Order: sequence, then C-alpha cells, then structure tokens
Amino acid sequence: MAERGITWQPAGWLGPVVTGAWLTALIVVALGRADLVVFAAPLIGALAGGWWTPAPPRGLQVDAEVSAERVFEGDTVTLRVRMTPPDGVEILGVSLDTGPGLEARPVSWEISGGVARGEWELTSTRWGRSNSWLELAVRGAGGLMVGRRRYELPVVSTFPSAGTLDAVPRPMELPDLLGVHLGRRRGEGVEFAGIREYHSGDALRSVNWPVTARRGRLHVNERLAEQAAKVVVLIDASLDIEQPGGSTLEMSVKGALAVVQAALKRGDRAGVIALGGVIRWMAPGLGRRHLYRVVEALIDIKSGGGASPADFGGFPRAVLPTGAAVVVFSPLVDERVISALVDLRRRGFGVVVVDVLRVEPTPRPTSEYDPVAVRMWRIGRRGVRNRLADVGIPVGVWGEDTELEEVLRPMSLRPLLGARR
Amino acid sequence: MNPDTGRPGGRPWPCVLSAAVMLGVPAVWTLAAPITATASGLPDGSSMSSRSAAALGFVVILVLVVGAGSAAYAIVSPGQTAVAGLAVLCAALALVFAPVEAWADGLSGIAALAFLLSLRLHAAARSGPVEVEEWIAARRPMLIGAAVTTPAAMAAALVPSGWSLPVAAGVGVVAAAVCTVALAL
Repeated sequence: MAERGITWQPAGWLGPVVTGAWLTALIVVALGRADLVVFAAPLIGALAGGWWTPAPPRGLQVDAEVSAERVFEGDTVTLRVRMTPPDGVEILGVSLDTGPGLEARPVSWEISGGVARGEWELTSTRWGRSNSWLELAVRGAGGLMVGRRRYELPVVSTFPSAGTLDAVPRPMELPDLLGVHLGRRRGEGVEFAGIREYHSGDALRSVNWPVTARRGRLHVNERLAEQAAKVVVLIDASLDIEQPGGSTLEMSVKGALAVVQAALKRGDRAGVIALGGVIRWMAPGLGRRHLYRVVEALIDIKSGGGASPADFGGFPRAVLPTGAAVVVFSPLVDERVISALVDLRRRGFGVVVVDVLRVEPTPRPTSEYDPVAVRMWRIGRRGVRNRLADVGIPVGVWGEDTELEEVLRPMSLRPLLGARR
Repeated sequence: MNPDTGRPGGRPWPCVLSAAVMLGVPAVWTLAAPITATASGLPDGSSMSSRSAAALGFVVILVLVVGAGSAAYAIVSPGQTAVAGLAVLCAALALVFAPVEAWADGLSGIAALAFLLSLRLHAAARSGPVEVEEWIAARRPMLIGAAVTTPAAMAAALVPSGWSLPVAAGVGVVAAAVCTVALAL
C-alpha cells in the first residue's frame, strides 16, 4: 500500500477555451452584441466556479500486488492494482509500462464506487530483475485540472531456466571435504585402496583377518576417502553479443546455472564469478539454499567491459579456492579475459572454457577485403583456442545445434590437472 | 493501454436532450419568426430583402445542421471534446445570426453547459458504473458558478443599459445567497 502524490496541471483544453472566451468577449464588445454574454454566462460561471474550487488533493492510495515476485523464465504472474482516489478526483485511465523481460496482458479493469481495480498478467520472457510502472491519469477540480502519477510496482525477479546436466568437470586435487569423489587420499570411504600393518588406533572392523592369519601380524584394509570437489563457474560478461539462440551473456548465465545445479546435485561445492560491468561473486557452497543465492547473484549480472581484470590475483581465496575446477563461459573476444585465464591456469587451477560465441562478422557484399578480414578473424579465433590449449585449457564450442552436455562431457571424463607451482 | 474500458451503453439521453435544447432554441427562432437583424448590426429588417433573409436563414440552418452533426458525433464518441466544443460554437454562431430574447439566450447557454457536463457523465458511465449524485456533487462549484452568473446576465440584458451593471450585481448577490441557503439546507 502506498500513498502517492499526484502532479496536477491545468487541463490541456483550458488554454484554448480561455483564449477563445477572451476573443469572443472582444468580438461581443466590438459588435455591440451584449446578448451573447447571456449565452456565455453559464459557461463562464461554471469555469469560474471550477477554477475557484480548492486545489485537488495530491494523495492517491495505490495498492499493487504481484502473485509472485520470484519466477522462472516463461512463468506468468498476476498483477492486481487497486486505486482509491480522494474525493473530487476521478481516474481517467492507467497504462502499464513494463521493462524488458516482462510482457503484460490486460485481464480486467473496472471503476466502481470511485475505486479502480485492474488486473494484468505478466509473462516473464528473460531472466533478470524487471521493473514495471503504472502510469495513472486523473482529473480533478471538475475537469479543469489533470494529474499524472507514475507508480513503481514491485520488482519481479526472473530466474534463468537451465537445462539438466550430468557432466561437470572436477579437479584432480580434491579438498578434505566429505563428498562423492574418490581422490588419492586414504580415508573412511567404501572403495578398497590397499592393505597395511595395523597401527594403534585403527578400528577393529577394518582388520583384514585372512591376511592377518597368513602373515601372523595384524593387517588392516585401507580405503579411499570420499571427497567433494569445488567447482567455480566464471562468466565473462565483458561483452553481450546478440546471436541466434540467445545472446552470449544469456547463454553464459544459463550454462553457469546448469553447471552449478549439476555440481550441487552431485554433492560438490559450487560458486560463481562474473566479470563484467560489475564484478560479482559467490563463494563455493553447498545445498539448495546456496543454489538460490547463486541464482540471485546471476540475475544481477550486467554486461560491460569496465571491470575485467587482467589476472585473478585479487580474488579472495574463499571465492576462488586453491584446487577448484574452473568452468569458464566466454565469447573469447576480450583480450584481458583471455590473459586472465592463462594467468589462472598458471596459478594451478584446472580450467575449461566453453566458447559461447556463435556468430562471426558478416562480410559486405561490395567489399573485396571483407572476406579476407573474416578469414583472418577466424584464424585469430583459432589462435586464441590454440593459445589456451597450449597452457592446458581445453576449449569447447557451444554451437547452435550442440547441447551443453555434449560440450562438457569430453572435458569431464578425466579430472582436470592443476599446474605444479 | 486501458484494459476493458470500452463498455457500450453509458448515459446518452441527457446529452441528446441538452443538445436538442441548445440547438433547438435558435432553430425555433429562425423557423418561427422572420429574421430581423435589428439587434445584430445588420441592415434594418424592413429594408432587408426577402432574398437576404432567405440566405441568412440558410446560413443559420447550415450552422445548426453542422452543430447537430457535431453533437451526434460527440455523443457517439464522448472522448472527442473538440467536437463537443464545435457543437457549442455552432449554437453560439446561430445565435449571432438569429438574435433571440435574453431568456432564450440564457436557456441555450444553460443547455450548452448541460450538454458538456452530460457528455462527461456519458463518458464516465461508459467506462464503468457511476453514482450520479456523487458525480453531480463533485461538480457543485461549477453548477453554483453557472447558477450565479446566468440570472445576473439575463437580468442585465433585460433592463436598460444604464441599469445593467447594478441590476446584474444585485441579481448575482441574490443568486449566490439562494445557492448558499440551498446548500446549507
């Protein structure tokens, strides 16, 4: 519920009417036709009466309610608005101005007892936070004044809808966290790792009795620890290039969400870093609540090249923990990001890159040099991929007819090796 | 975008009635009485040829037809305030060409005001249910203004020109007092 002020101004027709009345009065005096004043007297009196009415009140009570403020792409929410104007103020109409990412469809509108009620269906078309405004047009002082009020409606947050994914790259070096991956470390898992002599403190249930009987000394079974991986998804939002199947940023966000979702489902810790207009990050975490925190961080990502770092030295260790597998979604166009990825690899992180750029420059038909330039551009792109591959960063291209699963599957077959420092 | 505002119906009959009175007064004067241009500054009626009178009558009828058409269009599309203004202008023009008595001028003027207000009521009724009493109460200052100025102007037109100003002032004060008493009651 909100009490909002109306900005009043004289009605548009008032100026011409007053001017016309003055001109008529002049003509009446010039022609000596005072009888016409009698005809105009009621209109002049009404105008004067309306003009002397106290200034219309500025307050207007607007109650706006959205059935859900958090939705997924394609979902529809209902917006209900109830406007109660003060006495003497009449609502002429409303218009709903939705920002990008929301489409509005009017459902009902009625004014009864001076109270206006409207209902719209808002369909979310793109992830992000969508603002919408209600523009009210009102009339007061018997129609001599018109007012406008722009009312900001509750923000609708649209979560990106991500496909399901099974293949998520994982690092070779696993941290000491309880999870599902079998690393090199011996621990309390179920996978057999070897047999060794009994040391004091070993659990009795781990004694291997056949071996103990053969060798005459106590021997125990060793098992591999079940560890969790840390996966950090890095989104290159320095550029947002429109292309078929969604812009590069859109694809990156959806891909990142799919990777985070799959990693969390597997029991790993997953986090996200976005490089773009504003650097955003979410340290790796676990569980469903963490997934929603990541989603909230993702929908605020804006494109822009202002904050792309040349290296990753400045990131806190909690955000980019040592030994984490880094999955990068990037159009591989910004040289700073490419240098930063090489730096990241040299710091010992296992990095894979998903190239989300699906378009290439279109040569002008009249130009002789454009086809050559496009070929050079393609060679440059290949060079970037080779440069990354040379330092141990595999690059997969997420093409138009390719699923993300197909891109990440080959990179997930083996754990990612971290460089020796 | 106004969802579902275009409801049929509304309240067209007060508009029709008031438009009929507004345009009917000069029409009746033109048709019933021979056109005399004494008060209009035109040549004297006795010296005016029947041809000139017929031409003037034709002009008045033409103006009234345009006014009637405008009024009809304004009733069909009540949002068209300019067309409603054209209908009122046609009534005023007809009164210029066909001078009438002061009370008829006043009657036509009141009908013009009623026409404009009833059009607004018609438009409001088309967009949703309207409480007529509340609607009229919201326009009380305008109605009081008209109720004060109209009798004053009519009285001023009826008396000799030397007395018009004091008479108009007196009638205006009395009308204002009557309105105040009526509202107080």
